[in-house]
Amino acid sequence: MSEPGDIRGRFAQGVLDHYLSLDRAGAKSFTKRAAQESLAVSVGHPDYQDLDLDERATCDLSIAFIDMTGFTARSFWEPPDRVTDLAVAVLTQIALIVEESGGFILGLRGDGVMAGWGGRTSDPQVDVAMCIAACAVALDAGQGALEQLLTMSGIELVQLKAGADFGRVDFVRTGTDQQSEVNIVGHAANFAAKCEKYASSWDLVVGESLGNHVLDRTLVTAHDKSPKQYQYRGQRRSYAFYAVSWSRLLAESLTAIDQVSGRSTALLTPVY
Amino acid sequence: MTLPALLSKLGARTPRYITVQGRVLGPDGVVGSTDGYSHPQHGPVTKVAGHTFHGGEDPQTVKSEVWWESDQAAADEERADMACAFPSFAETEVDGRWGWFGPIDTGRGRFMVEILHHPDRSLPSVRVIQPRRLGRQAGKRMRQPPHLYESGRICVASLSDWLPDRHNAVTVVAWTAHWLAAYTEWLITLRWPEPGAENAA
Repeated sequence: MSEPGDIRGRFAQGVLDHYLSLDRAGAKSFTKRAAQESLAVSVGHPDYQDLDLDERATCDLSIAFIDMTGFTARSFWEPPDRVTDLAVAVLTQIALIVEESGGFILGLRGDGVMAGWGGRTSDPQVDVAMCIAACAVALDAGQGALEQLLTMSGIELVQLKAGADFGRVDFVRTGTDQQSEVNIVGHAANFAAKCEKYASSWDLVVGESLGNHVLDRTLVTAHDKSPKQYQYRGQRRSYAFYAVSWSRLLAESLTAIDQVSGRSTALLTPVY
Repeated sequence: MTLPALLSKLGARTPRYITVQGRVLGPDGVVGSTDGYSHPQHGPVTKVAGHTFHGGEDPQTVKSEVWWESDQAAADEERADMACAFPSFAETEVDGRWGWFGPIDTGRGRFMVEILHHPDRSLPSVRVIQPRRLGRQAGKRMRQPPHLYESGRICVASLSDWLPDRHNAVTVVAWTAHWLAAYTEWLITLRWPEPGAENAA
């Protein structure tokens, strides 16, 4: 039986193995394992993939964006193949952490992962907890074991950051009869992306709605730029966002992910 | 202690689920659906609504029309909910008050409880019928558990926890099962395992 902390080592080794396999043979000849890992990550919320064109559905969701920092500059300076290989390797491992924590990959965009936790019947507190846990473990794995492995292998380091929020989102299939995808619309998704922009390397920044679910207020600190001000038709409202002390939650995050072990948070019951 | 430990670290009170027999369940295995929650071994389970154990003076009620007569639909809905969640409970009427009595088996002890509605639809009162006295022998004296009203009825929730538009006897039975589970823990350890408010119903 694996120890809860093994996920960190697996993350780092997975990135390195994946990267080296791509680097050696080129993107067209993925190793079988790497290809399987990539294919294992199905994008989209399973409850809402069968929507018809223009059909919509709604649920409360915890949404996180976990991105690599400095990748735009890196893609400018470094050979495209190397940048792509590293992005694929890191994002695949982040996606696996999301899956292990009971979340869903909602989108893979260049240098980042958009992930969600929750569904029609899930408990918001669990969704929020597992969202934070996944972010914490991904950031820690990137900061710790991966950094060491990349350094030892002479590969330029990767830095991660994350933003998250909680709230109602609408799933709507958008496009034409021939080409469409399920789009995720809602302030929680938009603000999670904004939080990711506010975050520095190795930071987890969360929006007010998600932050309100962290009842131990010593775990969150108002971000320097908080709150965000919104004006609309003469009205003015503000929306706070917070930095989360994720390292203080790491031990519990690792064991929680180990327990959840890939079950959707929509099927989990948080009890004693 | 894994997911609950994380929730606890975040400061969250973790919800609990009660089997039809009245036992508080741990986290594993309970599955949610649009029909409610169920457990592969224990069958249907009831989610415990948020509540805090209290104590002190018995709460006052106000004179009003009798809600279970004026709102038959709500009473019938409660009957259906009770038949599903706690089928061992039977209807009762005591001093003109409608209610329920039945067994709760926490896994560490079996209790008979009586739950009576108030005409004004405020938080129903809960009494343990069997055993007749609650507490633990301390020398020649009986030590009472925390979170009792002065009348000896058990205080399963604060008045503000009770939402009459959303809650019914099923909610109260679940709170009572949770109270009794905590009570059986207290009997063994003399430590009440859940936070609660003292003397502030």
